[in-house]
Amino acid sequence: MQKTVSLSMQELSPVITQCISGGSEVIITVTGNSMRPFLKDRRDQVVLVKADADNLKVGDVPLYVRRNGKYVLHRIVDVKDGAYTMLGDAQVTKEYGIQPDQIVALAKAFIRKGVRYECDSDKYRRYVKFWMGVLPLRKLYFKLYRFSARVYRKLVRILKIKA
Amino acid sequence: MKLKEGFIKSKLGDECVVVPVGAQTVDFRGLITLNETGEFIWEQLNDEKTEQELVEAILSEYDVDRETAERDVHAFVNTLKEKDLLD
Repeated sequence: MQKTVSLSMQELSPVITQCISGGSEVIITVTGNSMRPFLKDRRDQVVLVKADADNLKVGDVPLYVRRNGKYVLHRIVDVKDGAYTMLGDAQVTKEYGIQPDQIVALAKAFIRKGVRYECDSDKYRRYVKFWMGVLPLRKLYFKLYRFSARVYRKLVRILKIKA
Repeated sequence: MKLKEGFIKSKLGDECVVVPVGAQTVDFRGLITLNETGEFIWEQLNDEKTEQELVEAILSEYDVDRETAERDVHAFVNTLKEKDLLD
């Protein structure tokens, strides 16, 4: 009999840590959409392994825990003085100063729509290169999106007043 | 029969799950959960037991008739065999 159990990362974390410390890879389903378009909430999985927390690189996707206890899976976009700058693929606002002691695990591969992509595969690397390359455009896109939404709301207000 | 090594019972929230530590891949989509009775039998199987001994253990712990206990133990043991968890 199959059943789906939703667990918080706080609950899962000790077991994940135990498994990856023993050299296993751990597959969990992702929640949230901050890594869109690559990873979709509850559809896709991440394959986690033990991370070399002091030596992660730009482009790596670690699982880390914020000081408020929230667990996050985002991409490293910069390394400064041994701390990491993080940004979800669907985000434009960076998160600075993630310390090595906050790193829980590292993504070794992703399972997107049931297909597994290793992080050291060419296809995946091309995606990362492309997506990080278009970061300035991503900002522009979100800006335009917000601007057009604002214009739209204004127009609606004006039209309402006129009517 | 006895449980294979390399599996630990772990509490995840309210759920009791079996985690294959040391396996190459631990897929949290396919973990085995244990209910209270399952957990009890699991504990018993840390030592070498026959199916009959498991039934006796259940009967001394729970208020069930022998027939139900035998049926449930048999089903559970079969599941463990299917998942290759027994030595």
